[in-house]
Amino acid sequence: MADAFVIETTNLRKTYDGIEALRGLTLSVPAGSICGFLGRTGAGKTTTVKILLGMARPTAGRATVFGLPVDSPAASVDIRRRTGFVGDDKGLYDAMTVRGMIRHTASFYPQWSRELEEKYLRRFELGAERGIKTLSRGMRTKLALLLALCRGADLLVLDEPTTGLDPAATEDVLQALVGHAAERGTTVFFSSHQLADVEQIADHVTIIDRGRVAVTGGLDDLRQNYRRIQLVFDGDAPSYTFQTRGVERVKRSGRVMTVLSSAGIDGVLGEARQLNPVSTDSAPVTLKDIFLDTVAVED
Amino acid sequence: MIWQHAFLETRWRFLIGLVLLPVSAAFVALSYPQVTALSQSVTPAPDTALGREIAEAMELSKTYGGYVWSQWFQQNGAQLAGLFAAIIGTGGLLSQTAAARLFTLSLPVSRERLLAARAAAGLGQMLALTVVPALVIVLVSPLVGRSFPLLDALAYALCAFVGSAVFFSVAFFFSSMFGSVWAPIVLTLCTGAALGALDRITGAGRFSLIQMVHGESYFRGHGLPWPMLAVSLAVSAALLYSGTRLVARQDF
Amino acid sequence: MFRPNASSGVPIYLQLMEQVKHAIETGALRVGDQLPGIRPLAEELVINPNTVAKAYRELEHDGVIELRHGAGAFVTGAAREKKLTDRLRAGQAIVAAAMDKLRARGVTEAEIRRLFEAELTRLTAKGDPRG
Repeated sequence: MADAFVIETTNLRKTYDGIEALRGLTLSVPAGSICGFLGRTGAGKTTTVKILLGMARPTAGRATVFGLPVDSPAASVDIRRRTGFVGDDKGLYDAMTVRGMIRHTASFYPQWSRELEEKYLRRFELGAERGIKTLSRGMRTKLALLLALCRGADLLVLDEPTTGLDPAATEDVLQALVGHAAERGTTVFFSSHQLADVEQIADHVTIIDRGRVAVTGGLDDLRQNYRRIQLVFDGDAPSYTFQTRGVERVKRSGRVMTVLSSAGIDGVLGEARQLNPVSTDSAPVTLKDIFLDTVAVED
Repeated sequence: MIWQHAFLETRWRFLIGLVLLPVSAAFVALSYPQVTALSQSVTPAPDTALGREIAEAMELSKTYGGYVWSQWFQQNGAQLAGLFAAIIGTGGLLSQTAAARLFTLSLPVSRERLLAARAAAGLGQMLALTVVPALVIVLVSPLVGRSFPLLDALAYALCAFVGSAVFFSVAFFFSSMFGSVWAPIVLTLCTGAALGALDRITGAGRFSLIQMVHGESYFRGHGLPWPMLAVSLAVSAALLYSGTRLVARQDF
Repeated sequence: MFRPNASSGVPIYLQLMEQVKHAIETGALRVGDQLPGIRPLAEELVINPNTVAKAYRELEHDGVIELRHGAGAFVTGAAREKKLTDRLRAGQAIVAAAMDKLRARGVTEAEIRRLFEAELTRLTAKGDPRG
C-alpha cells in the first residue's frame, strides 16, 4: 500500500433529519496501525463507520479509504472488497450452520483463504456443523471475526468487538486481531467502550466527541504527553487561567487544583509554582483519564 | 453469491406457495366429476345477481376447458398468484433487521446489483408459481378422464406470470419506500382491488389488466393479448427501476 | 516471562524494556540467548506488534540486545552487558544515598516517590528520550 493513511476524513459532516451527527470530523488512520476509536454513545462513531463503508453519504466534507472516495458507489464496492467489517449485531443468519454462513460469505470474496478458514475454525473451536442460533455471544463474535479475517482484507473495521464478552473470549478476540495484524500488516480500526482493551492493543487512538475529533495521536505519545498535575494550596485553590497552551482541564475542589495538560508541562509547572502551592504532584495519566477528562460531560 | 443471497430472503414464502398453488390447481382439476354431478341437480334462479353468476359458472363448466379456466386461471389461481406476488415482493433492505442489513450492505456488491438480484429472484419465483400449477393441471387431468392442452396451459401461465410480475413490481416499489414488511403487501392488494373496481366501472375489455391476467382474451379465442402483455412488462420494468433508484440513494 | 500491564499508565514498550533488562540481570536471559520474535511475542502477550518492535529498537539503542537482520534479536555480548550492569549498580548507589539523606530529613516514602515522579516528569517534558 503506497498511502501512508488507510482512512482519511476531512471536515466530514453528516446531518440526519436535522440532527448533526458529525460536525467537521477530521481524522487519519495510519496504514498498519491498530487504531482505537473512542467516544461516548451518540458521539458519532457508528455514523462515521457507516459513511466509510458506503452505507450512508456525507452531507459535506471528504472521506477516503485506501485513497478511494467513499461517496462514489463504484469505489465503495472496491473499498468493501478490501475491508472486513464486524458490526455490533454481528450480521449472522440464525438459520444457517457455521459452515453454511462461511461458504455463503466466501462466495463474495475472490481472495478468500480456505487455509485461514480452517485455522480459525480450529483456533476458535467453532464446530462447523453447529447451527448459528445455538452459538453463545462470544462464539458469534468469533465467527463474525473469522468471516472478516479470511477474506484477505487490508483493513478491518470493528464496532464494539469485545463488548459483552467474558475475559477469556475477549482475550481470544484481541489475540486473533493482534496476530492477524502482525502477520499481514492489516490495519485495524475498532470502536470500543472497553478502554482497557484499547490500551492493550492499540498504537493509535482517536477520541470523538459530539461529532468532532477531541483527541488523536499515537497512544504512547498521548501517554507521555498527558500529565495530571495536582496542586495543593494553603487556602482555597485560586481561580486561575493558565496561559500555557496544552492545558485541557482545570478542576478546583477545596484546597486542591487538578490540571490535565496534553503538552507543555514545563510551562504549566512554571506557572503553577508562581501560585505558591504547598505541594506539586505530577502523575502519568491512563487512557481512561484522558477519555473522561476530554469528553464533554452532559449538563 | 448474490443469487443465493436473494433467494434465501424469500425462500420460505416461495416454498409455501410452491406447495399451495400446485396442490390447489390439482384439487380444482380433480373436483370436476363432483362439480358436473352437482350442476345436474341444481337450477339457479336467473333473476338474482348470485343466480346469474352461478348460471354463468355452470355454463362454463359444461366443458372441462371452460371449467378449468374459470375456476383456476380466472379465479383461484389468479388470486393466489397475486397474493404471493405481493408477499414475495415485499421485504428488502428497508424492512430487514439491522443485523441482516449490515451484512448485506457491507458486501462488495453495488446496491443496483443487490436489487437486481432481488428482482430477478422474485420474478423467477413467480414464474415457477404460475407455470408449475398449470403443468400440474395438464398432468392430473387424465386422472379424471379429461385432457387439458399443454399449449393452452402455457398460454394462460404466461398471462398469469406477466400479470403477477406487475403485482410483484408494485410490492417491490413500495418496499423501497416503507420500512415495514406489511405496508407494501396491503398497498399492493389495494392496488389490485382498485384495478378490479376500475374494470367493472369502465367495462374495460382489451385494456383490462385483470382480464389479461386471467387470459380471458385467449379463452375467448382471440389469441394472446400481446399489447397488454407488452405494456405490463414495461410497467413492471419501470416500477422495478424506480424502486432500485430509491434504495440506491438511501442512507442507512 | 514478560507481563506488561496495559492500564498502569506507563507505556507498554517501556515496561517491556524494563522486563527484558530485569530478565538479563536475574539471569533468566543470558548472553547470546535469542529473544522471542516480534510477531509471536506480540501475539502471545496480546499487545501491538509495533510496541514490541519499538521496545526492541530502544533496547538495541541501549546496547542491551542486537537485532540481526533475518535472524532475530539476541542478548548482546558480555562487554556491553557489563557496562549496563555497572551503570545500574552505580545508579543504585546514588539512589540509595539520596534516599538516606531524604529519610534523615523526615521525608516519607510516599513523598519520596512523588518527588522522583515529579522530577522524572520534568525530564520527560524537556524531551529526554530516555524518559
